[in-house]
Parts: sequence; C-alpha cells; structure tokens
Amino acid sequence: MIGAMHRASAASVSAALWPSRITLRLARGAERQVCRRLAETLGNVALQGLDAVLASEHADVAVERALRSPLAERSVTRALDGQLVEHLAREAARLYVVDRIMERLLADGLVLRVLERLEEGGVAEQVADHLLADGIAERLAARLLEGPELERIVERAVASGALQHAIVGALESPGAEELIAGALASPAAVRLVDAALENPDTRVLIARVVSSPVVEATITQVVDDTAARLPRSPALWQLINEIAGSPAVTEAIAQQSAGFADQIADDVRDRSRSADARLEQAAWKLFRRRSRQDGGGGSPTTATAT
Amino acid sequence: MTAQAPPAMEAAHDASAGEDARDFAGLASRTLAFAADAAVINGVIWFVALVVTVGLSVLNVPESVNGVLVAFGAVVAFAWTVAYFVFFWSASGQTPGNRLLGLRVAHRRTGRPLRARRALLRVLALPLSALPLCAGFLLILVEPRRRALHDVLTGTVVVYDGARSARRRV
Repeated sequence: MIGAMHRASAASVSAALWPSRITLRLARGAERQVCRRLAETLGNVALQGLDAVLASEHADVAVERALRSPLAERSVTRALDGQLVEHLAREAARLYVVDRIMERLLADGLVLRVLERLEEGGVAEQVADHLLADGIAERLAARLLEGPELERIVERAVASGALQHAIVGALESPGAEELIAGALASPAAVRLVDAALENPDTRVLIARVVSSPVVEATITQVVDDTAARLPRSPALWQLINEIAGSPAVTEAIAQQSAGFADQIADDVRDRSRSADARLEQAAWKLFRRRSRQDGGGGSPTTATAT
Repeated sequence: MTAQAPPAMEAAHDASAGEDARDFAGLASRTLAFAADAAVINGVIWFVALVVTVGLSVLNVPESVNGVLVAFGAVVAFAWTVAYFVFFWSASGQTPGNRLLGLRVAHRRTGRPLRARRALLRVLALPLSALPLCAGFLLILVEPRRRALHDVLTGTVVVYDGARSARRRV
C-alpha cells in the first residue's frame, strides 16, 4: 500500500519535472554550440591577428627590442635556473605537444609564412647572436641534456608523421631555401657552429642521438632498403661498367695477374730445384753402394772424372 | 787494356775454385725447361702444319708432290727447331723454357751466352746425349758441374739464373 503510494508520488514528481529536464538538455546543447563556435571564432581571430603581426613592419623592431631587453634576459635566466625547463620538457613529451603543434601549424600553412617572414626580417641572425652572446644556448642545451625527456621527445618527433610532413613542406618552400642560404652565409652561423663544435656537450648529444634505438632502427631500415634496391638500379651497373673499363682498374688487374704468374713461376722453380737436389742425392747414394760392392772407394766425382 | 769480365764469367772461369754444384741446373729443372721448349716448338709446328694442310686440301695436289711437301715440311720443322735453340742460346742464353725455370746456358769458361756456332754445335750434339738410352743426360746426376754429355762436348754449362747464383758469383 505504502509502496504504491511512493510510486504514484514519484510519477507525479517526474511528470512535473519533465519540462525543466528538457529545458536543461536544450541549454546544454546550446552551450556546446556556443563554445564550439566561440573557439573557432577565437582561433580564426588569433590566426588573423598573428598574420597581421607577422606582416607588420613593427614586428621586427618588437622582436629585436624584446631580445635586447634586460627583462628577456632575466626571464630566460630564471627559467633556466628553475624547474620550468624540466617540467616543460616532461609535459611536452607526455602530452604529444610536438605532434599537435606540428599538425596545427601544417594545417594552417603557418610554417611557410613564418619562415618567409623570418627570412625577410633577418630574425635568425639576431636570435643566434643573442643566444651566443649570453651563453643561453649552452645553458639550455645543458639543461636538456641532463634530463631524460630529450630522448623521448626525439623519438616521438622522429616517429611523428606530422613532423615529417612539416619538414618536407618546409624544405620544399623557396623561403626555407633562402633562409638556410642566408643563415649559412652569415657570420653568426659560423660562430654558432664553432661554438657548438667546441662545446663538450655536443659530443654527449651526438652520442646519445647515435646510440638511440630509433636511429639504429632507421639506419638498419635504410641500409636494408638500399641493399634491396641497388641490384635493380641501372645506375649501379653503369657505374660498375665505368669502373671496370677505367685504365687504372685494368692496369691494376694486369699487375695482379702478372704478379700471380710470377708467383707460380717462382713456386715451380723452387720445386724443380729441390727435385734436382733429391735426384742427385739418390744418384750419389746408388753410386756409392755400387762402389762398395765393387770394393773401390772414393767419391763419385772422382770416379766420373776418371 | 783488358776487358773487365762479368761476375758470371769469373765464376764459370774459376770453376774449380769455390764453385758450388748448387749453382748449376739439375736434371729435373732442365727436363722441365726442355719440355716447355718442346711444347712451344711442337705447338708452332702443328699450327703451321694445320694451316698448310687445310690450304693444300683446297688444291688438287698430286700424290708425288705430297711426299715432297712432307719431306720439305720435316726439313722446315727441323730447321725451326735448330733455329729456335740457336737463337735463344746465342741471344740471351735463355729459351722460354729456361726463362720459366730460371735457367741459363753459358759458356763454361766465359760465362757469357754462347756464340751462334757453339750454340749450333750444342744443338747438334744434343742427340748424342739421347742416343745411349739417355745415359748422356743421366751424367747430370753425377757430374760435378751437372753437365750432360753434350755440355761436356761443347764446353757449356747450365746455371741457375737466381739471386743465390748471382750472389755467389759476386
């Protein structure tokens, strides 16, 4: 009886709350729509703003001032001295930040625009000068080398398809070519390379990269693919024909053949001379035996001479 | 003014003073060298004979002419054999077979290569060593300078052309 009353009261409450539930569901759907559209709008606005900033003439001046300001130096120093670098690296490795950034940048074509803009403004040279002048590059490399996150980031970055596409797209762009040519021709690049080569941490970095399982597997795969493709390559056989027909190789083969013939002739001479000695010894033994049987003495030479 | 004698000549000239039987070529080496020379000589003879025979087979040669051609061919083969040995012995003292085995035919006293006349005598005396069941060749085994009968008759020796012999001569 009491149960029936409870069920009746629950049904009446549910019927009373039905409109409010529908309203709440509609409100949640509207909220999701608004959030999605707001995110898209904000993203587009941010990209357009970034494009405008990059296209602005004041961008170069702003970057230069920011790099030369004491505030930037102190910020970098504090960041390097603190735990920020380690946390950033760890989180970047954990959350696949590299992959996601590369996918986003590649999808919007932002990489190419940034490269072109950087090349036009000579920002690469300025950044290199600043990093070298303050030793920031060395300290940053040292901090990264101390933690285990570097290897994980490298492995994931190498395995990332987005990164590969980004590298290919960047390398195929004319802006990248001009940027690399300008960077290589600048004195700052020379100083940067010299400093990197003289730094002992470079050896540690190279050793770690080379000993990485990813690098080893990549090298093995490249070698296997090359070995499988080489026999089918007409260029290889053309190269072999050219090498085989070169005068230097022909002369070397002729010399080797002559040396082989001389070696055989020397062997024949040695054997024949030893055979001469053996035959002569056998003859002398036979001759002495007969001399004793005849009762005579003396050497076979004497007997022959007589 | 006397000409300076070469070291080989001195060694051959002073055969009784300090010479070693190991400087003179033995029976095995000389046999192998002669076999190599015989292969060359007979190879040339057979090749020429083959060419001539093929050429003559095209022509209609009478039977009597064939006999004359065979006799002529034998004479040419004999002359070729003699010329082969005479040329090489008088030129450098080494036939191709001797060169292969590192031997050299020299005058017993001068140590130089033979003159053409002595080389011809040696070739003609060669059958004398073969006639008595090759006993003339077996003389190499017991003769102090390892000479065969034709070497004794013509005053020649066969020496090793190696570094040891040259060092001993110096």
